Amino acid sequence: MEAHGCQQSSFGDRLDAMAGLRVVVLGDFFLDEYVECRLVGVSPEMPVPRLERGDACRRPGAAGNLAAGLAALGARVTALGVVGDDAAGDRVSEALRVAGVDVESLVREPGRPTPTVTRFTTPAAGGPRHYLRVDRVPREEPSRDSLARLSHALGEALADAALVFVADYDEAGGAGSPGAAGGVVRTEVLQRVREAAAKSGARLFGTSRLRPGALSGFEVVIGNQREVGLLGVAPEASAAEARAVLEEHELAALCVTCGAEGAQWLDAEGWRRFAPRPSVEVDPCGAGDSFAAALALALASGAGVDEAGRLAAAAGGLAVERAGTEVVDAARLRRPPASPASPPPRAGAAVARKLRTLDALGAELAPLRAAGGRVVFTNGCFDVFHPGHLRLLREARALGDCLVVALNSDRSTAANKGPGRPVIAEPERVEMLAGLEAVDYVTVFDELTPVHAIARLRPDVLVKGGNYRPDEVVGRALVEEQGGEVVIVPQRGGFDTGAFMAAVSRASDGHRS
Amino acid sequence: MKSWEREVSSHFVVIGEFFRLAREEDASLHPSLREELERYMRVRLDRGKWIPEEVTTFHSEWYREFYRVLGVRDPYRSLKERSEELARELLAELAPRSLEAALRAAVVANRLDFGVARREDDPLPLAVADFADLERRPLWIDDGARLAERLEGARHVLLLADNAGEALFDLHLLRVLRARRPGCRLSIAAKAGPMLNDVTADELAAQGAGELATVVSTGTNAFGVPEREASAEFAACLADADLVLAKGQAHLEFWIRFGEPRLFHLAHTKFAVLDPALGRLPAGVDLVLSAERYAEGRPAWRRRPAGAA
Repeated sequence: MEAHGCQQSSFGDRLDAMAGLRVVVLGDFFLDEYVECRLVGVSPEMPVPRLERGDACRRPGAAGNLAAGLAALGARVTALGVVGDDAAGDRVSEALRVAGVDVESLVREPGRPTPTVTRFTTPAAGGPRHYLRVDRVPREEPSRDSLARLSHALGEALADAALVFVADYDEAGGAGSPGAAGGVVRTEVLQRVREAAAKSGARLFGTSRLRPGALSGFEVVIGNQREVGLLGVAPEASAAEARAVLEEHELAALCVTCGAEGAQWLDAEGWRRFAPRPSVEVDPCGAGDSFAAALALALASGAGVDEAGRLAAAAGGLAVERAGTEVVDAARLRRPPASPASPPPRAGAAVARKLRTLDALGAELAPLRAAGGRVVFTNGCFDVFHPGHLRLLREARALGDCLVVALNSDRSTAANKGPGRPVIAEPERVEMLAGLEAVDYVTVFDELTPVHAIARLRPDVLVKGGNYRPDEVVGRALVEEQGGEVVIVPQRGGFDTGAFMAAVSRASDGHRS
Repeated sequence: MKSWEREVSSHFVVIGEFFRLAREEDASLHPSLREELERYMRVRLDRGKWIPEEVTTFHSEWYREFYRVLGVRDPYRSLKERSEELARELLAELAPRSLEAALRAAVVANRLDFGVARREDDPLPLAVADFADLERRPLWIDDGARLAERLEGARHVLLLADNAGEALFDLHLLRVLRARRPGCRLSIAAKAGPMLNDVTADELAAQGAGELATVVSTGTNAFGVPEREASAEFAACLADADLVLAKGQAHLEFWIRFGEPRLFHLAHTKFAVLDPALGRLPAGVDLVLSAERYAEGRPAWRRRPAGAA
């Protein structure tokens, strides 16, 4: 079997081709909830764990995650499904709308519960850990009226779609006929999809938790090993045996996602493997959807199987590095994966994604520069992080396409600031910066000055925070002689580290007295 | 010696020469790097940013930055070789025989300094004429008699070297001392790595110093011997020595905050030195200065390796 590695090549051209394609996602739209909790002890009522509930975040799940993922890759996505006319349905609709998905054709059925998966998580090193999952799923099939409205919308939506992705996430009805319980993907709906796709020429992709066999006649079925196994494809099946399954189900191709092992593709030419992107796994939830979205859209845009597989593997690899079902957008895919010269992650997935040596950073920024992107650079100790720092970084990021923060190491900070500094050690200062959305990259320098880092990176914009004159900005000559600019972001609100520490000290003294 | 007591120009004077020499080693170095280094220090001083209290700490860190930023290893190599050539010529001509003359010559040779005090394109700072009337030349502080007395009874003499070239005069001093006191153990300590035109332990060893004395690396390329950077070898040698001869301005500014009464400074001052016990030592004067003049009440030097309390 050939293995096609996840290479460090830019996907820019392919992502450009994918942008704007019309895609219809038909299936089971869930609401995914992630509720942060803290284990505080045992319930006084019963010998069961007692959790203290914290913040909750909600995202579209199941077909919704797939739709959001396709939209994040630049597709124009229409959601087709049936959700309840309830608060959860409101949240799903709104979340999809925010994600850029057209929800006008999403049927809202009164009295029907919107499928909801609630995951209670507790904190753990490296990211939240799932503690408990609670599902709420409809047990009744959608009403006749809902299905009629769906069917009507389907015909309209598919008229100019390049791709239809059927996402059957119903697990309540068992492995019997599709939609045996409350799911949307029912025999009659699938028939309507096939007819409409045949008429419009839209490509048919599908995935099913329990009934992949119902997707016969589709071009590609994507599933994990368990799901594809339901088609009768064994993990060690020979090419001939696997092709027989394709013929039986009238499929052009199968794609089996194998988690950390990557994925396998089967078509008339036989098996081929897509190697995984090196990743630091935080949460695998939703990675399969990210993979499927990228694969389907790439193929629909005209990519060959190998290229589509590489892109999909990259998307899946990026998806596991974040907690929850956060989608992988085109911007993240445009950045090549980290080079082997990158340092190992010191704390968390964000650090792994963003912390780079100077050498690795230069190489990683090259495609962005080649595409005309502007690199913004700022530096500092960022010790005792405060709102002034945050405002500076947000303003800096807005000046270009990518923000690099060069951080003084502990040694450099001590040499510049004196005894007792830094207050917060380098790993934690890196972690704080990497955790900010405004920051794209963090690099640590050990010298007294950022001169070496600026000379190596030659940013387009050099940002300095505080009340400085331009001639006081270290690195100014290096940047300006290359045609770059220096931008001074003045202090606002009186936040600077010295004043901040003095205020903390006064408050501490007041507290003691 | 406190950093703020040192004239401000001394924080900048090395940059130009260092950069010029670095470009001889690596022509691709960008001219703007010099401007940026100057900018950094100017802003730091103008805006009253924190600087290390001790000038030797400040300058050690600051000059190390030049090496880091410019990525050069030893831009002063050629100047050091010229210094050594000149020192050999001078010694061959002078050949001071008495211990007194050798001591005085070692003090004058401290002028052979292409480092902090030198401006770009200065001519070579030493000639035979500078050594005229060695034994009658007045010193700003002259504790020579006390030193001679201590030398007669010393069991182990440790010399802390300063500049390349000058070090040959130091070795000559040790040679004269050995002839006079064959039973006296001799050690000579120098930096572990390049710092401006200061001699390194490796360079001393390459010059054959090991045949005359035990060559010891201080364990650092810093000015003086910071407690947290000192090698165990140096600490042991210092602990054993009952007489220490410290050459040059940097050792004067470093050791002056400690109470090491067995130490004598042999130096030609490049910058004024202020001290509560000594008052003001002007720039451009020669010293044979006993640490007993200031040591009382000051802490002893003690090695504190990184991570130790």
